[in-house]
Amino acid sequence: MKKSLLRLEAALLLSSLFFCPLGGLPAHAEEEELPPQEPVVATEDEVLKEQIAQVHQGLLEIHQAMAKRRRTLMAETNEVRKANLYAEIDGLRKEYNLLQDLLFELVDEATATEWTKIDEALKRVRRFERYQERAYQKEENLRERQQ
Amino acid sequence: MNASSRGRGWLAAWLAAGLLGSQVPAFAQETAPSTAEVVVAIKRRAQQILEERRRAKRLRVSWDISQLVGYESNPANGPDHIGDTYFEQSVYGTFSKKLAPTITWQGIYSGSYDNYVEYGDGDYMSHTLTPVKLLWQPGRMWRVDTGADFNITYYPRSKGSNYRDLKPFVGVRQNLWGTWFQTARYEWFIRDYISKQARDGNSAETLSNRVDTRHRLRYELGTTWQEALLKVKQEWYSHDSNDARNDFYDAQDYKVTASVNRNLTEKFSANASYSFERKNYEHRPVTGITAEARYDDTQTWTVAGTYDFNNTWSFAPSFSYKFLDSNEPTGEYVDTTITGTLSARF
Repeated sequence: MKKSLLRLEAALLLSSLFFCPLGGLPAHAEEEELPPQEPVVATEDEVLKEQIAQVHQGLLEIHQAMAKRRRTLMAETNEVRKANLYAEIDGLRKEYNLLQDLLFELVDEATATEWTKIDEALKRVRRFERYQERAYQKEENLRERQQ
Repeated sequence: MNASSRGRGWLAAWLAAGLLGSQVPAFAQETAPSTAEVVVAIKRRAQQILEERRRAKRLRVSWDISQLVGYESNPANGPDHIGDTYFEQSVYGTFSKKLAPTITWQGIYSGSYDNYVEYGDGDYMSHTLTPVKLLWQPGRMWRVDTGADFNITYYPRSKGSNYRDLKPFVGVRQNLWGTWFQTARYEWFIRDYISKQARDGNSAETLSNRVDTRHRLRYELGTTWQEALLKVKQEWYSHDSNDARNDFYDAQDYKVTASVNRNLTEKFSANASYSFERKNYEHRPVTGITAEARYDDTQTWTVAGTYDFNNTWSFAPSFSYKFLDSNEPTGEYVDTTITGTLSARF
């Protein structure tokens, strides 16, 4: 009897390695992930830059929350608490993906409207060139009066 | 459905799922309160960002108003060289709205009024309206703009110089290797002199207004070097008029301009430029017994600066020296202009 119970326990232990009785294991739940890299964009739009920084900060915070749960998961032995942690990590992962989509959208917009040193330099001389064009037109109009 | 609209859709659904505000997400019921609060705060920021992006697509308006005081040594551009003081008020207003991430619409109004203390023939008013200017900026390398200007210029004491014109234009800039750029620009205008009749080959006035057209092409090559902007610009235009008296206004023109602009301090930037212009009239005769048509060579030197008091106010002094040399001796002149301009931008 004792041997058959031992065999049953071994079989259950082996099967628990492959099947979670309280729900499927997310494949990425125990993976250690690198924190999200800060995107580098050169855009004139200061508001857009600030928005990118804020969303990136949000991603970092969610990433830290997931990492904390993974560390807890590694040390946890209680199956119920482990299942709860897996669910929390999965929920955070979904939040992370949605926020990441927003970050990609903002970075795409910043890349599409990238502001260069050349744009900055040409903006500086725009008013002066408008004045020169006006002076040139004025002189041309007066010269045309000569008969 | 593209990635951006898909992202927005998911985010909207996520926010609408009632996980905002004080409601704690289900997954966070057994976690420390600080994590739940952090996630709620992140979602709140994300919603604010969406709202700010919606606001950014709304109409933006900016204005630039200037008052100029100047002294010109020869405002009539004639042989007498009688100097005069003048004043210019100008307004430049821009309305802009993003139509797409890389396309912006602009509507522009530019107006100026010049009046001289003594030389009343030089007083004039100009209004230019650009109802549509489209800017396309698909990334780092290309800048494309196109649109059309409508202008009215009015000389209260020299009505023969009054005109209105329509000028469509297109320009392309290519940013190269991080610091170099080249620009090509084409303009065409048709100009109707509303108070001046065209003349026929016998110098008699016709019933038609004088109408001029011009094709103008500009090419510019430049670079930013340290804090400086260096450019060389070449322009060519061909001018044609229905005034048939010696085809008086028909001409080909070529102009080259070299300029440098540099930030000397955080608040002060300086400009210097030199231009040489050759205008070849097709048939305009010159004094004396010669079959040669008239040509004018104009050289202009300009130095100017801009001092920014703050984000709104700035002051710009300038000095320019112009010398016109011609095979028509009565057309030669020298003109020196000194100006000071106070501007407000908001």
